[in-house]
Amino acid sequence: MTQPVLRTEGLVAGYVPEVDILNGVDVDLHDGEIVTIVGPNGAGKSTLIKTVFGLLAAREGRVLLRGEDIAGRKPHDISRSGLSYVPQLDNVFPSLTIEENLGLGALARKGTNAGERTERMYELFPRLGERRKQVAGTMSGGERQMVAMARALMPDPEVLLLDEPSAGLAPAFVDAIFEKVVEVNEAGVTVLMVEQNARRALAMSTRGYVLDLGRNRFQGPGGELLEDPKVAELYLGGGGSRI
Amino acid sequence: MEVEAAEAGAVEKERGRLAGLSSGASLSPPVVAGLIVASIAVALIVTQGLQPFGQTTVNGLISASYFALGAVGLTLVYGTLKLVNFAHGDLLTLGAYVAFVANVSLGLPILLAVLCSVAVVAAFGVATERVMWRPMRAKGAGLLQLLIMTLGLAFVIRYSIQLFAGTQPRSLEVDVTSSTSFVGLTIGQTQLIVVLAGFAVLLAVGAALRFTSLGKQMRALSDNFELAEVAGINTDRVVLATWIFAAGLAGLAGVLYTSAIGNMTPNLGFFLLLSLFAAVILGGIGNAYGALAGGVLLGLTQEWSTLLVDARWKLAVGFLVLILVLVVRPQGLFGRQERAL
Ligand SMILES: Nc1ncnc2c1ncn2[C@@H]1O[C@H](COP(=O)(O)OP(=O)(O)OP(=O)(O)O)[C@@H](O)[C@H]1O
Ligand SMILES: [Mg+2]
Repeated sequence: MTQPVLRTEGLVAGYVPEVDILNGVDVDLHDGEIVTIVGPNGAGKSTLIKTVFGLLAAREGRVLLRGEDIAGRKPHDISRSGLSYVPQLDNVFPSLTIEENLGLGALARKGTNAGERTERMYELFPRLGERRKQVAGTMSGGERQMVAMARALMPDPEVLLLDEPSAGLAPAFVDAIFEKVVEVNEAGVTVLMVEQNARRALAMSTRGYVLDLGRNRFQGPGGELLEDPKVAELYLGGGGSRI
Repeated sequence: MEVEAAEAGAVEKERGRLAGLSSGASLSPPVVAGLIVASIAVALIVTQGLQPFGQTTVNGLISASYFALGAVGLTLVYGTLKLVNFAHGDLLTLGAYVAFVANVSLGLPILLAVLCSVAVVAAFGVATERVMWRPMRAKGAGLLQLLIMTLGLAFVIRYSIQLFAGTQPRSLEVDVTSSTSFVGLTIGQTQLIVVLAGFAVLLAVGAALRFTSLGKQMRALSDNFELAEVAGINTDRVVLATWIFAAGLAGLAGVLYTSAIGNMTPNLGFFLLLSLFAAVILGGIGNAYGALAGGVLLGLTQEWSTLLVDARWKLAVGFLVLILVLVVRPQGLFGRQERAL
């Protein structure tokens, strides 16, 4: 098999001394994939992504980007090597306009043509183009999620890390966001995402991981995980056939 | 039939009224504030006469220039580092005294003295970041510890200046006697320069924050530090730039203040600090444009109030306005109530 574009090996991390939230997590992400991480609240999904992105120090283990260990590097540095991250919460600059939010995204990679990329983002998210002068703090939750995604896509990353892109959104927006994720992926961006909307997310994923208590519990192609009765019972809220 | 038509008409009217109301509510708060200020100005012109109004406006613009330039740094440092810097007022004092040393002790021309002030205070700001604030942040210091440290730093600066310069008032070598008159309004020659220079810098600062990449990065850090880092901004670099910017402008504001009122004492920054905080809070804490606007608003209000009440009350009136604004809009003029997701 080819070298994964991103891989974590035995990742251990946590917020307070002595308390590990991740207890050795192994995740692989190959070129062109959409990989979804599911798991109960507090499983450490957001913590995993934060550690990959350098917001949290890895206590043990490695984070390999195309074989190179990036653990210990600062987030702004990591964002320069083709990785982009959309946090779960507070993922826009509220007092800045849409246009300014996107413009800042272009800083992640030298030589990015901000104007051109911004127009590209307005094509991808026409709603943002209509509101380019509006400050992000006054937008709806769904619109903000689009701003956040567009900002992360500005430097034309190879890999996009999404932490619960559909959280708190109305069904219409959930569909729209998932469609965009697929569209972005088809345009060549590899996607690693965390999702509460586990069934929907796994159904559109190449592969998935179930994380629990900071450990890998299950993994496999998205469809297989969906059909695994154990996964369904423990993590997807029942088989859905009875009652 | 007729009754129905009349009713329909009434409903139509009511709808129109509601539409009018809702479009009124969607006006941005700074615009509403501007309209209110304009109507107060008109009321003052009508009741007090054009000349007194004009004269207090001129006086208001003089204080506005140093309020705004002092406040913008205070708000940016708070926004970026969540540091409530009680030593910020004393950076203005430091600026004034550095100008004094350069201008009077060393005999340099005033323009050079101003540049010295800006450079020395900016360097001092960077030094405090390196020696105190960055290490404290790295150790995870709490808000309260940081606050006490800024208070301590304020005293250290003030008493060090007092130790070297004494408490007697001192003046720069600027012309404080001659004045210019036009259309019946009088302004000291130096004060005129203060206003012109102050507002030129103020506009430049506003434009720099709005249009330059560094300005956008500063506002971004002020909004959300962690996201700025994630978005690819080198936050260490922007924090240093913020200190240079904030402290340099404080130094300039100190020189402008002492030039406008004609003298300096080691307490000047301490007395200005409360007004700077008022300007910051008025504009919405952490918002750079807000601090600029808040400073101008505070300067004008304080001076306009002298038309109606004794000048001794002007500080109190300034704070009365602050309280009124906050009652209506707790987040300040430019501040935003965070929408829940
Ligand atoms: N900043 C923090 N400081 C201390 N503990 C934290 C912090 N953030 C998260 N934790 C703890 O780490 C654990 C894992 O949190 P994490 O946010 O990674 O979960 P998650 O799987 O993303 O959950 P959710 O589905 O609710 O988003 C939780 O027990 C949480 O309380
Ligand atoms: Mg999470």
